[in-house]
Amino acid sequence: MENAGAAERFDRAAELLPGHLRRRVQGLPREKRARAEELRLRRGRPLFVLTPQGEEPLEGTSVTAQDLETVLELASASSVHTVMEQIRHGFVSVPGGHRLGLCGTGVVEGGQLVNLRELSSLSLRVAREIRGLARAVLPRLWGERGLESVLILSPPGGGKTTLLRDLIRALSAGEDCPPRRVGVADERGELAAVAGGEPALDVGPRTDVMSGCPKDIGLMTLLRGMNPQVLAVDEVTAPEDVSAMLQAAGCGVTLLATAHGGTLRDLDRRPLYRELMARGVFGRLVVIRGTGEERRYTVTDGEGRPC
Amino acid sequence: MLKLLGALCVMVVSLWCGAQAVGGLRRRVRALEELHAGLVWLEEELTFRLTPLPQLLERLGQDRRGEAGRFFQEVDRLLRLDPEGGLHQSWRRAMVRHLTLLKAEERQALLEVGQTLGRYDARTQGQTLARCARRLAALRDEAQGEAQRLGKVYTALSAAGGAMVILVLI
Repeated sequence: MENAGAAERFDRAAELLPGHLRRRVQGLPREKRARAEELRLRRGRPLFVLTPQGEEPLEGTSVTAQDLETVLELASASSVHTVMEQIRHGFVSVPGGHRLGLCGTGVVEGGQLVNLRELSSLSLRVAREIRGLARAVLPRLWGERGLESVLILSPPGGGKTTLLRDLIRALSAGEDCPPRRVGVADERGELAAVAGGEPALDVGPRTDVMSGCPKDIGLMTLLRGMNPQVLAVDEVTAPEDVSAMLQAAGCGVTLLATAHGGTLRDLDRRPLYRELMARGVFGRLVVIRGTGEERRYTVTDGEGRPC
Repeated sequence: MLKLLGALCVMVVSLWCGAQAVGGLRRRVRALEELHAGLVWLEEELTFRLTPLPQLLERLGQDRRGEAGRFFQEVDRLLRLDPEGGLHQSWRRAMVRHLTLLKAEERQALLEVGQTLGRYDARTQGQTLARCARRLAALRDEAQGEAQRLGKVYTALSAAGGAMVILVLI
C-alpha cells in the first residue's frame, strides 16, 4: 500500500497556518509529516500534531486568538461568506480534501447554530490517500447479485473516507474487477477534492464527481444525468440522503457509503440506518477497527454473517 | 515681442495650473463614481451569488477605471502576495497607495468596508457595502457640486492670477 505524497499533502495543509506555526510544522522530519493525521490548535496552548501514536505538542509554540482567525481566513480564501453553511455544521472543507474542524462560542438563532463567535480551537485533518487499501476488502464485496452495496463503519477518524476513496478508485480503474462508472456525491469536497473541475485526489478514470451540493441532490443529479453503475457518498447523516439512496438502490445502482459507528448494533440504534438495513439495501458491511496505524477490516453481509 | 512671448508663457502656465486643479476635482468625482459602482456590484455578487472575494476583486480590477480600478487591482495583488495579512490589510494598504484624491470622510467610509469584507456572513457584508455605497453616492454628489463651483473659481483665478502677474512684470 502506498500512502502517496503524504508529507507533501501535510505541507499543503500546513499552508493554512500562520507563518510562525507553519515554519515549525514544515520543519518536522519528513517521516513524521507523512504520518501526521491532524494538526490541533487550541487558544493559549501549544500546537499539537496528531500521529497514530497520539497528540504531541510542538514545544515553544503558543496558539493565539489571531492565529485561529487567520487559519479560518486562509481556509475560506478571505471569503467567510462562502463557507457559512459549513461553519454551521462545525467544519470547513479546504482545497486538497483537508477538513478544518471548528470550535468556539456558538451564536444560536431560533434554536439553530448560525455562526461561531470567539474561536477556541481548530482541528486541521490532513486528507489521506492510500492506494491499494481497497484490496483488503474488495474480493469480499461480491455476492450473488455481483458487487454488493457497501456500508463502511468506523468511529470518527477511523479511516472510512480513505477506504471509500480507494474503493472508488479501484472500481473505477477496474483493479481485479471489471471497471465501472462511479458517481461520487462529494458534498464537502473531501473524497475527490475537485479544484478547477479536476479531482486533486485519485478517484479513478471512470469517476464523475458532483461536489459542493447536498448529498441527496448530488446523488439524484448523478443518477439522472451520468448513468452511474456505482454511486458513492461519504457520511450519510440526513433523512434526505437516505431517501435518495433508497431511490438509487431501486434503480439497480450499487451504493458505497460510510457512517459513524462501530458495530451492526450501533446502526440498529439509529432510526436513519434502521430503514436502510431493514430494506436490505446494503449487502456488505465493512467495520474498521484498530488503533495507531494498525487497521483491521471485518466484512459481513447485511445480517452480520462474516464474508 | 519678447514681452509678449513672456506674457503668453505666464498665462499658459497659470491656466495649466488652474486646469490641473479642476482636473483633480473631476478625477475625485470619477473615482467616487467608479468606487460606488464597484461597491454596488460587489454587494450584489456577494449577497446573491456568494462569490469568493478574490474572484470579485480580480473582476473589479479589470472592469473599473481610473483610481478605483487601480485600487481594486492593488487589493487583489496584495491579497495574493500576502494572504496571511488578511483582506483588511490589503484593502488599507491599497487605499493609501491609490485613493490619495479622497477626503478623510470618504476614506473612513471605505476603511469600514475593508474591516468587514470576507470576515462576516454575506448579509452583514452586504449591509456594510450598501451603507458605504449610499454614503459614497452622497459624497459624490457633494463632490460634483464642489467640482462645478470650485471649477469655475479655479479657472477664473488662474486666468486672473496670470493676468495679474503679467501686469506686475510689465
